[in-house]
Amino acid sequence: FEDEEEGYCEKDLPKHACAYCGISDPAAVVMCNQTKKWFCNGRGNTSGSHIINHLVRAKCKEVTLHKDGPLGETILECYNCGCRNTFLLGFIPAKADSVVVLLCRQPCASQSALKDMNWDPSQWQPLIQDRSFLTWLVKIPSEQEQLRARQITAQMINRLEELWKENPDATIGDLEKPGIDEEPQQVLLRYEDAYQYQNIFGPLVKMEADDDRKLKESQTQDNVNVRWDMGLNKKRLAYFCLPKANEEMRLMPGDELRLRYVGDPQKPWSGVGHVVKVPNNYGEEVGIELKITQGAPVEYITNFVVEFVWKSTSFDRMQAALKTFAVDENSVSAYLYHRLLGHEGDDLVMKVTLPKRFSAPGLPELNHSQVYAVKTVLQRPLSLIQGPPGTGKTVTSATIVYHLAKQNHGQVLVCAPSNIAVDQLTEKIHKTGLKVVRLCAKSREALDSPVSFLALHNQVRNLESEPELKKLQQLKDETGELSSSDEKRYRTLKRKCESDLLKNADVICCTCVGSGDPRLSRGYQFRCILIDESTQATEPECMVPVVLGARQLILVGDHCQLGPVVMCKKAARAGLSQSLFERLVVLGIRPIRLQVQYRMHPCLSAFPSNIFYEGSLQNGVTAAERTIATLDFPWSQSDKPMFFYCSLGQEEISSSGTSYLNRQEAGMVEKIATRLLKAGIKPDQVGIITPYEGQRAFIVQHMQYSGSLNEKLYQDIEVASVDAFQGREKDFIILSCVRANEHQGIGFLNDPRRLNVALTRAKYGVIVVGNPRVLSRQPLWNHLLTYYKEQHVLVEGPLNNLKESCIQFSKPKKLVN
Amino acid sequence: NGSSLQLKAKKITSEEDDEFVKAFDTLIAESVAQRATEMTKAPAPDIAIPVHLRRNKVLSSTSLNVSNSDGDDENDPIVKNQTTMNFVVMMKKNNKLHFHNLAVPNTSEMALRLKAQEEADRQE
Ligand SMILES: [Zn+2]
Ligand SMILES: [Zn+2]
Ligand SMILES: [Zn+2]
Repeated sequence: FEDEEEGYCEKDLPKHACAYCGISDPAAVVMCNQTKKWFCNGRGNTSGSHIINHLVRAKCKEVTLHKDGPLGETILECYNCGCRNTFLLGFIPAKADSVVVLLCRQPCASQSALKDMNWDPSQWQPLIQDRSFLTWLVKIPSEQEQLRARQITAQMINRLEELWKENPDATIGDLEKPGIDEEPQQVLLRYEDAYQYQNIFGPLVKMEADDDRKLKESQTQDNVNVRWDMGLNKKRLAYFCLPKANEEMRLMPGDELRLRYVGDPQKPWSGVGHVVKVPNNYGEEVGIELKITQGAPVEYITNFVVEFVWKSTSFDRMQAALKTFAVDENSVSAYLYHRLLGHEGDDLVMKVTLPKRFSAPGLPELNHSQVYAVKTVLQRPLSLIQGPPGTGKTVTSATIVYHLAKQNHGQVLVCAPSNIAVDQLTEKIHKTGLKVVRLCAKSREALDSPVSFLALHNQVRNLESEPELKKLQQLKDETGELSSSDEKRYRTLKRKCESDLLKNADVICCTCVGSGDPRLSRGYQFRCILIDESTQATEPECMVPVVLGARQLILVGDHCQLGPVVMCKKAARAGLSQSLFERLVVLGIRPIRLQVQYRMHPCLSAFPSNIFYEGSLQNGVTAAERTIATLDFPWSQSDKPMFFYCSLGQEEISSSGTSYLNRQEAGMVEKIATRLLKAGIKPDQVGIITPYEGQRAFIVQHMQYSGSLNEKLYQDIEVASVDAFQGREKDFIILSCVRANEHQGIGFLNDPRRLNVALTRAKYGVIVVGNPRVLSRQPLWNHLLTYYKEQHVLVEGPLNNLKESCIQFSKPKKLVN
Repeated sequence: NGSSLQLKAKKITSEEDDEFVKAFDTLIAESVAQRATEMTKAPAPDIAIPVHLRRNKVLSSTSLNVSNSDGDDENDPIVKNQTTMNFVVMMKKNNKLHFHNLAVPNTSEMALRLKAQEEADRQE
């Protein structure tokens, strides 16, 4: 018993001891039904009790109480419907008697449902309050007990949960074992050589790949109902709802899902398909096109399971690019090699014959800063172009590509991280009259886009010069299959045509990762490479096209907007979320900035210009061009289509159990949206931005249930996170800031880049809804609020009678970073 | 009290903790949203309060007549002092009704409501 002195003793803990801290009072612990582990209802120094920490982090929902606790061994479930999702359960007391039952909040505890008049639905209170179980149901261990128990931080909890995913029997002691949880090496600003570069980025790419795989593979969904359909191409389509498709799975068109029928053990079936439709809103369907149409159990609609089929392709291509960069001298020019690694060197100006006219045929005339950009870029082996919102980045890029192609240095490779961005650029380049091929991943061939006709697979199909291929293709389309000899012939011909088309193109467009396609690696060298939206690509992603022979490299983007999405926190912390563009800026390469914006009403561009672009943004549109004269909307200042609508409603934490959202703000957002719709604005002209998934789902619901107009109208308004709006525009933007809580910050709206993106999406009007008192604590938001106040557009009151608010701001906290 | 302040002061805010709070919010929102879109087909609850539990006088808890599923009442937190109030939880196990005593702090909203109700009844 020597350990006793140290207070906490690892040995002899009962099975029902808290797996985090070791507390084992039966009245204070709860078992997770899924993992069979026990956790206590104490929170130590974290924001929720241990059991809630576990349920949330491990995505578990059902629990059982201990047999020696006050209620005995009890699985917590709804008295009426049997629902076991703890996050939906709550007690409802009888009106006059000291009797309570456990009911789910919807539908059983809803106002209209309860028949017996003895119960009072308004008194429903959730089991989980303030992120712990009701203390009179599950005891909170005493302070003494908690202080004596193992002290576990949120970081440790997080790591332990991660460990359990690999090894469910791991204990907290395993966290200290060497090798576990080592931080990877940080990215550098400068690298000695490409080997060092590969040695640092390689492991980060691997970590990101592992995380991505784990996340995607864990997303199995049971009990899926399928709606069958048939595509125009005679392929079988399956539609179903996947609640996690957007936020957790980040499902993209072209991803592969496996659908399995499990309803009848005698008739097992499983088939893989590509996603052809992703849901925009909650409750919308995901659509997949099955690879093999035959045999699909279309007679059944229930009892399906959906799994994600993870592919390592993109990560493999990044690794391959890192390797090529390290071992292949010809992968980039010597000059670029040194500049990319951050070695000192002089700016090189190349001798080129500059075109007489800088604007390209088929595209709009360039403005002065665009001409400057084109001219400068053409003479330099490495350039960065910074395109703030609405400054005509795509037109500028397309014009540059046009001139590069005309200089006859060979084909130009044009890339961007996202398919949408590639398509937009492809469309513009096509307008200049150049021969463009859009190379798509095989898995995306079924998807439609505005530039489908430029896609390689479609160009092959429409090729008149190869009648034999055309015949075989027709046969294949009609019968769905070819004999093996025909199939072989078909493939040979197709490959030959693809190769011819690629060779004859002036420009090849694809995603960064797509440029690692084997069809391009066979003997292709691209001297000129342009990467659009490069600030949204990770560095290894950018390198995939770069190592295809770059002698002249143009990176386009805006490091003042959102960077690449990196899922793995460790890799992000180590610097994977910094783009190549950003690093080159830090190294002292000055980006050429486009300076005239054509999107926003001049009132809307003033703040972002001052705060994010040193006041350099000029307006290429006038107030009149961005004013809808007939619009009946109660702007508080008639010449300023913007205001900050003060919501003082605290976040609800109390009995309703809805601490995740802000009802008042949702109500205000609905009223604004309704007013816009009534004024004749179409739903697709309006975007609602909110940083929290909770609020997003709530606004979607609230508008449909409480809005006075037709439900369908509200359904067509896009409600999404800032990130989903990057690179796009809407006529009107409503921003709901939500987090009006004393204890938490403003979450990720305090990232200046995110705020910049949120404020620069709208062409005609912006309305921010939020709590000024809380928001003003952030220095950046304090600026914004002060600006709105100075403009007399900080308002409160009913929408049709807005009054200037005199609310006092809080003192901003010091900037941490 | 003092010791609770001690723990509070020690509450460490970290990225992992913020992530947790966010994930918690999301989980609740998703659960609610999912229920709403699922259109769960549950029978409308029609829960009668058994006669022996009706007009259960809270303050005279000695008259409680509760059939406890475990058969032993030793652990039952029957109200012995003024800081808690006794409630009965109705539960179903294998479709059989079960009742459990549960001590609810006097300060909880539920207890306060019931007390106010009783007070009002007495005035009549
Ligand atoms: Zn669990
Ligand atoms: Zn614990
Ligand atoms: Zn229920």
